[in-house]
Amino acid sequence: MEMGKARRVFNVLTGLFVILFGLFMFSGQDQAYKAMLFFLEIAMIIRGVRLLVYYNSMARHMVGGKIILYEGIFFLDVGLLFVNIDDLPWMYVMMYLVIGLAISGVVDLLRANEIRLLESGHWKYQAFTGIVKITATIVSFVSYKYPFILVSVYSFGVIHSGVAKIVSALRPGAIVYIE
Amino acid sequence: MQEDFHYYATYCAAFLAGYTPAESSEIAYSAQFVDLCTRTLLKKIKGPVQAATTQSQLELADAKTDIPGLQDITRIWSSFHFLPGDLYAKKKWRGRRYMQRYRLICNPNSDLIVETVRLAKGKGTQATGIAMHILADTWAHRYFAGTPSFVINNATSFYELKGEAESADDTRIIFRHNPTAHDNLEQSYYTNTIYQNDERSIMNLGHGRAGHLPDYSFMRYRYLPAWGDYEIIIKDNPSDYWHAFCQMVYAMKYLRGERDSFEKKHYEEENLEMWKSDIMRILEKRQLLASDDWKAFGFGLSGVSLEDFNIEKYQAEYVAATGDKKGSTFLGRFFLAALAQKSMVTNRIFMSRNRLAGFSVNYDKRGFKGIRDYWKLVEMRKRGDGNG
Repeated sequence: MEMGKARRVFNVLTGLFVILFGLFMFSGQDQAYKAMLFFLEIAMIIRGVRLLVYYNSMARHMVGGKIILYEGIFFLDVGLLFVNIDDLPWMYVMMYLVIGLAISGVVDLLRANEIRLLESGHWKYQAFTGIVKITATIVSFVSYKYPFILVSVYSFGVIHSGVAKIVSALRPGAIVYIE
Repeated sequence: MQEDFHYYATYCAAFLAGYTPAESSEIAYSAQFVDLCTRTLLKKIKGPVQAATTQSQLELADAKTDIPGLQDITRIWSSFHFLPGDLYAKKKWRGRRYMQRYRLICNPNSDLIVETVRLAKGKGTQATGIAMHILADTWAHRYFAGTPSFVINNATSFYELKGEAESADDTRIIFRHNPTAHDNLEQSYYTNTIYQNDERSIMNLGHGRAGHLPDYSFMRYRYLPAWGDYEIIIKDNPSDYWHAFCQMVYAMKYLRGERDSFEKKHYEEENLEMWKSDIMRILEKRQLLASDDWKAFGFGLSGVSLEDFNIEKYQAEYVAATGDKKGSTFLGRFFLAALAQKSMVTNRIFMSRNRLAGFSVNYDKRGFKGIRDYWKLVEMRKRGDGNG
């Protein structure tokens, strides 16, 4: 949980790498779908491993913590299975990505409405991001026959998260204490 | 706790501690405002966003759970609603990551509550109100931590107690997840957060998994907390709320200068004996909100009817003030007290080698580094008007 100098540098470098990956996906449409799939499969394996580590270090001490162990084994297993399948159905991948985007968009719009009701002028940016996410969701659903559209949406999402990671790493975070 | 205790009961406690009705009203207002001072509100009135003492449901839904995001959440909830009970607690065979979370579990009569009350001394009614909110919550929110943590804050097997202890007649509590639905006391339907076995999920912040059970003064219940090694916790809210009330009166007598010191495990029980039956009647009455009863009790004590809480009451004064004069408005003083409290708690958590609330920089040793809003504390010390 520390955010010392080394961690900040690491996060900036990770952010840059993520942006480059997003740009590569965006520019190399032909290879991008395979790269995206590979990325998701690896992410699933990493999630499985992380859950197993989490179980060993923390969840085994809690009431009902066994569920974490089973979940870790499941994700690891499914991730390894998907890596070994050549043609993963396109629709499943799309649903996995787009549903998350839609939920995020709805939350942004609800937040914007909450801010607007408080008569604050800061609701517009929140509403804008919500509308962009919902629009991207609709576009992805309508154009489900054209993988390059989903790849483009996904690439923008990757670039955005890379930028957010860098901004977060550079933000001052210490709290001053006066004795 | 809700408005009934933080606003109306705090008014009663302040009056019984010797404050005038007007002062008691300001203390009660500040205590209740802790549950409403969100970033969204602060942006609206152009206040320091770091003075936020709570987060709305939508702010939480929107909150990032990366490291800075989690530290921000932990600072707010640990400082104002789940004050850690023992930052140096020990438990065998547990790793560092687990213990960092375990040590943030809220409990009354901690070293931190002593520091919180002492920090408020001489800082006005706003700081007193904030301290009373925190003190009362240490009783209501005990056994939960002010940081998102599945391994600490998850809980299961809730039963409402029919007697003093566990029995076969206890009523099983059924939880739903609709945040807009009201709790149903007759049928024992309550709302809680969705089960999420993700350590950092916002659903696992504080007492979300127990719904509003800790907020109802009449509730007696038992449950299994995730951190408790399968030992049942029996939570007796009427007793806890009574102790909270007595400790608030004791603390405010210290803050008024009637007592020389504030010590742990001291209550004003003897002096409040003549009101105990009235207070317990309010605390034990099965109802979702006890505001009317507390309001009537407060009127009986002071002869003044406390006005309904109005969130906008002091906003125009703050918005109209310019430059340095903002700091001397009612809300300006509230924000300074909130920043001082957050700074102190963050420092204590940091000094215990726990980074869940982020980094703390001692101004006297390393100068000013970090979030700009805290410069207001430096300015305040330079002016020599407290909180430093």
